[in-house]
Amino acid sequence: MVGINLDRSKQLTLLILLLAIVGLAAITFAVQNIKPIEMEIGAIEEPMEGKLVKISGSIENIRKSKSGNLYWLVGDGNNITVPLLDGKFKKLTAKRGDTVDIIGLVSIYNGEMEIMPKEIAIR
Amino acid sequence: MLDILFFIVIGALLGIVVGFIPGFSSNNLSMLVITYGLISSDYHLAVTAVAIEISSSFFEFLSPMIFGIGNDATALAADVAYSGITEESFKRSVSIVISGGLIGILVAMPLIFFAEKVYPTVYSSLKPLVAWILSFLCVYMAWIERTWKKKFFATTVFILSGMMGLLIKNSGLISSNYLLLPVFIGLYGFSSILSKRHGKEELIQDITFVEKARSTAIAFIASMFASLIPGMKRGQASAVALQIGGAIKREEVLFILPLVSLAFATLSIFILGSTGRVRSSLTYDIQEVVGNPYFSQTVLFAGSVAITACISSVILIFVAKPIGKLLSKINERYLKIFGFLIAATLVINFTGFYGALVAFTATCIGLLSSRFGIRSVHLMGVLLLPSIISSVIL
Repeated sequence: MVGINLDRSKQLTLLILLLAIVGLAAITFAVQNIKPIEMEIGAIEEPMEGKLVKISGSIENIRKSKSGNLYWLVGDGNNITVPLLDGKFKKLTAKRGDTVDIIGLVSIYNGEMEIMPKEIAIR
Repeated sequence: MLDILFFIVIGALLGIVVGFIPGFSSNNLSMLVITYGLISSDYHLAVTAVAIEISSSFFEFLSPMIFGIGNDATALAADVAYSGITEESFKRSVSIVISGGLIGILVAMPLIFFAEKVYPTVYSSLKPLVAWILSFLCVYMAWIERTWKKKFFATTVFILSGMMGLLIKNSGLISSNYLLLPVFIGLYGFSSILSKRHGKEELIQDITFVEKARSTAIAFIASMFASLIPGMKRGQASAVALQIGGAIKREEVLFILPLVSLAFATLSIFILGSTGRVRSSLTYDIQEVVGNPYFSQTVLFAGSVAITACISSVILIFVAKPIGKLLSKINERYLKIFGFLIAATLVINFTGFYGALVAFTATCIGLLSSRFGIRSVHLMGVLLLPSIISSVIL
C-alpha cells in the first residue's frame, strides 16, 4: 500500500481545501432546497429585497420593451411587475387573464418592487 | 447657500458614523432619512445623501484597518493594513487612504463636462467586450504569479471564490442588502484574523510620486470602466484596478482602493446627470428624491462631494493620531479577538445560519489564498466570475 507523506502544514492546507469544498457543497444543497415564502402581492415590501417568494395572480398586462424583453403585470388585488429577462421564459405562451404561480426573488428597480422569476407555472 | 453647507456638514457627520460601523451602509441611513421624511426639502435630502456617501467612503476604511472587517470596496485594506499596528504605521495608512480618496475625486471632476458626450459612445463600444476584458484580466492576474504551482493555486482560489459568488447571487439564501457581508468578512476579515499575512516588521511605508501617478491612472481607468457597465460596482472596479496593476506594493493597494471608491461615487453622479442611468446606491437615492438632475444640480452635487471630502479628510487626520496611539497600546491578540467577535455577531445577526455557512466557506477560501502564498486579489473571483457570466448572458 502506497502512503502519501505530507508535513503538518500541508495537511492543514489540504484540510482547509476540503472544508472549502464541503462548504460549497453545503451552500449548493441549501440553495437547491430553499423554500419560497408564499405571500400576497400587497404584503411584499422593500425590506424583503432578495428574498425568495411565491405569488399567485392573474396577468393584468403584458408589455414588450424596445429590446424585446417581456414584462408581465401580475395582480391579486395589488399589482407587481414580473420581468421575463431569462431566456427560458421566452417560450411561455401566456396571455392576459391567465392565472400564474410565480416563484422568484423580490427586487427593486427604479424604486418599483418587482419579482425576478425563477419558476413560472400557468394554471 | 448656507443651508446647503449645513446639510453637507450634517451628512458628513452622519457618514462618519455609518462608515465606522461595520456592516452598515450609507444607503441604509439615506433610505431611513428618505423614508421617514427627516429632511423636508428634496435638494437638502439629496445633498445630505451625497455627503453621507462621500464621508462614509473615507471612514469605512477605518474598520478594516482596525478590526479587519471590510466590505466589497474596503476588504483588501484589511489584508494590507490589519497587521502589526503601530501609531506611525496607522497614521501613514490613514494618510494614504485620504490622499487616494481626494485624488479619486479630483481626477473624476473634469468628467462632469464630458460625461454626456463620452459615456453613450464608450458604453456602446465597450459593452460587447466586457466579458473578454474581465476574463483577460483574471487570466493575466493568475499568469503573473511567479511559479506554475502558484499560477495553479491562484486559478483554484479564483474558481472556488467565483463558484461561491455564482451560488449565492440571486439565490434568495441571504437578503440582497447583506449578501456581501458574510462573503467579505470571511474572505478577508476572518481569514486575516486567523492567519497572519504580514509580520510586525512589515509596516506601512510611504509611496513615491511615480507609484502614486501609476496607481492613479490604473484606478481611474478601472473606475471609468466599472461606472459604464451595468452590474459592475465599486468592488468590481477595485478588483479590476488591482488586476491591471498586477504585482503592486500593498501601500499602492491602500491608495488605489479609496481612489476607486471615491472616483466611482463621483462618476456615478455625473452619469445620472448626463444619461439618467442609476449606477450606485447613491444615485438611486438622488433619483428617488430629485429625479434625473439637471446640469446645474449635478454641479451642486459635485460641489457637495468636494466640500464633504475636505471635511472628512480633516476629521480623519484629526482622529488618526489618537486612534493610532490607542491601537499601539492594545494587545494585538485582544484586538483580533474583538474584531472576530464583532464580525461573527454581524454575520449571525444580519444573515443568520446561511450567512454563517457562507462566512465559514469564505474563510476557508481566504485561508487557502494565504497558505498558498498567492495574492489575495484572486479572491475577488467572487465578484468577477458572476460579472463575466452575466456579461456573456446579457
